[in-house]
Amino acid sequence: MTYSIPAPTNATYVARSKGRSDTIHAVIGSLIEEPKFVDNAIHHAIYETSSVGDTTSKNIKIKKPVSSDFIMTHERRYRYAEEDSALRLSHTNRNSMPFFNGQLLNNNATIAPLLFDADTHALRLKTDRIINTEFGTRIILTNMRGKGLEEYGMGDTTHFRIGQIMSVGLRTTDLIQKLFKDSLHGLNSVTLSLPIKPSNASATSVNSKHSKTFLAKDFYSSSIPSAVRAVARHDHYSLYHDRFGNFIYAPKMFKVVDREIGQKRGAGGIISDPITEAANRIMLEGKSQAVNDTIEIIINDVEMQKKEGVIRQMRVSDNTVSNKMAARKTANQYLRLNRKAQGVIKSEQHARSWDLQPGEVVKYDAPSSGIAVNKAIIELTHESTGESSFQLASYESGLEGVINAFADDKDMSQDDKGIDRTKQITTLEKSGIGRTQFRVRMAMVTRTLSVNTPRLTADATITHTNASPDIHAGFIVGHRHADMTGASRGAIGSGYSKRITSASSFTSTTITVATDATDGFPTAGNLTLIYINRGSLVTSGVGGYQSGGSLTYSVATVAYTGKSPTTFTGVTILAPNGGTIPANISEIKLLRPRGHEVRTTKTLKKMRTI
Amino acid sequence: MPILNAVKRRLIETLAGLVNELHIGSDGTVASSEDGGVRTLARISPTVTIIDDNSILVEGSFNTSHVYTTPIKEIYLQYKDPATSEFVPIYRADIQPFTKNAQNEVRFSFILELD
Repeated sequence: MTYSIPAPTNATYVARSKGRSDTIHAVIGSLIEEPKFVDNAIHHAIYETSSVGDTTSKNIKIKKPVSSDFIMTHERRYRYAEEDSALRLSHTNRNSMPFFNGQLLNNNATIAPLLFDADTHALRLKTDRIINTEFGTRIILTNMRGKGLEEYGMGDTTHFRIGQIMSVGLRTTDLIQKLFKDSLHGLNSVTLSLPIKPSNASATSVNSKHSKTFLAKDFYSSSIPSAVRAVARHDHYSLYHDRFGNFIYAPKMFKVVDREIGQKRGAGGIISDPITEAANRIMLEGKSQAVNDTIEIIINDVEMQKKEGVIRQMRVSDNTVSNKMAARKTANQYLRLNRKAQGVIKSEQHARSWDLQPGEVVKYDAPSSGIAVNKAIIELTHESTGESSFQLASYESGLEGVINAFADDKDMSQDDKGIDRTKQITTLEKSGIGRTQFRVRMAMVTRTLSVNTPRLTADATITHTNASPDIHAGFIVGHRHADMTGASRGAIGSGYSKRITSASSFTSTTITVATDATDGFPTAGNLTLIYINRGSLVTSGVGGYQSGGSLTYSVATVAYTGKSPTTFTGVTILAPNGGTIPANISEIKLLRPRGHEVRTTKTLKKMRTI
Repeated sequence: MPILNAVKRRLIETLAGLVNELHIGSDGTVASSEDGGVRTLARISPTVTIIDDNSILVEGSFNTSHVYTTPIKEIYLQYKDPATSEFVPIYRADIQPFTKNAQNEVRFSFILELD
């Protein structure tokens, strides 16, 4: 068989037609068939929280990856020449500047983090940067001062490959559940969120509690508590074991509850009991990835150092940290948590606090000590005598991390290694922490209103209108003007109604009045009719009846449904019951609600703060 | 190292735009920061006023037309995206039961403060 060998070109992508899958999939399916001839493959994707408009969604989605985010380890081999703290790499068959991953390996290129012994992949060198040279390319290595490849067991190395290692792990929240698989022991359940209750049911979903952190770590030979704490240090979740035997692994375990404890409610002594020593410099050691690799970061809390005038250093080992960026992030987190871990007190002999549980944040009020703050319950003991003792920490966001961070990590620590403290280039790591608080104060104002008082009338068959302009005004000091639109006058007493004092007449259902006399009357309403009989004593007939010698004043209340400039139409009698309307009417008054009647009343406002 | 006032003002302005629903509800469970909802009896759009660079005032009232046989036991603020119906719980308080009928009116005031 004849093989055709392609001529060298600038492109170094050598895509095998088989056994390789670098396709970017637009759709994630339940069954992915590629690749054909290898039994394992890694599918890259970006796993992120989606957002809709301005709202961050609780949904997690998978996005297509960006190929520049990772570097594939290529099968190409490079020969090298060892230099002081550097290697000069070139292609195996030429001395010019080599190519890697489709680009020239000059000082602008993205350098892969590791160089692998072409024959033994466990022998790796950590790269630092590239320097342009006339022949090949010079790759600077870290931590090589005074040492050659032979000291690192690479004396027989002839060629290198360039690339990076990749760990395949699990989402931390899945990892925790895997750790407990078939090892539940006395636990009733292992969950990722607090038990659902009515007030949080609508917002709590499994998705919202899953972490977005992935971790590849061998936990064989580790105890489950140590392993869980190690994972928690990585994703800053916290552990919680509730009174019902459920193990909960969730991001925000402390919950602020509406309870108060302290001296006013019965409490004994208080002593200060910080979780950890106060540190303003953290030296964090991670897990190295190469023979010349040292993950060690020193972060200073410069604000605290200046304030305290002294440097207090704490050394922390975290083997979930595998590069300096992660180390920096974690060390900063430790510094932040260290501040929170200081405000811890022990408070004993609390009464009526039997229902409180660890993980709850209560208001702690101790006037004699001048303490009135929110405190998180870290540890508590309820005695059968009814007394409770607490270990309380000043509650601030992230307190969960304090407890994990400064918990026992001996079980998971890596072997001690010599650290190269002589660095060619010194990087100073400084940290600053800014804080602000968010508070809510609520007030509730209530006011009671009485029901409508039925209006008193001489005859229960009359229903007063309660529509504009005759809406009942309640008890008012004042007096209605005769005209509906006229200004009120200051007085205490009855109102004054629009009236017609000139003679009017009634026929059928119509009252005829003087021209334009109906001005100012509403288009429908009630009228009081007054008429005078002279010279005779009226002994029967209409009621509401007064007599005095030869003069008789009669009163009737009628309703009308329409008006013209000279008439009220649709007139029917309301009172007296069964009465008649006389033909001649002396005076007509608009029947209106009185201004001084007491109707709906409002009590004083009562305010209480919540 | 303090958080600077300028960004607090910006946060307050952002927060003012985020409070757009005030609910009264009937669930008297003790309020905690883990809460994420309410058993709603009624909801209104509260009036939000920026008081100063650090705080906003949120007010809402329920007049005599709000009549419920179930007592009010909780108050709740949230942001709800009108386009997507996504919501973000902001604040919940459990209160002493209070029966809202036609003979009373109630006003709730909240001051949300960045310290």
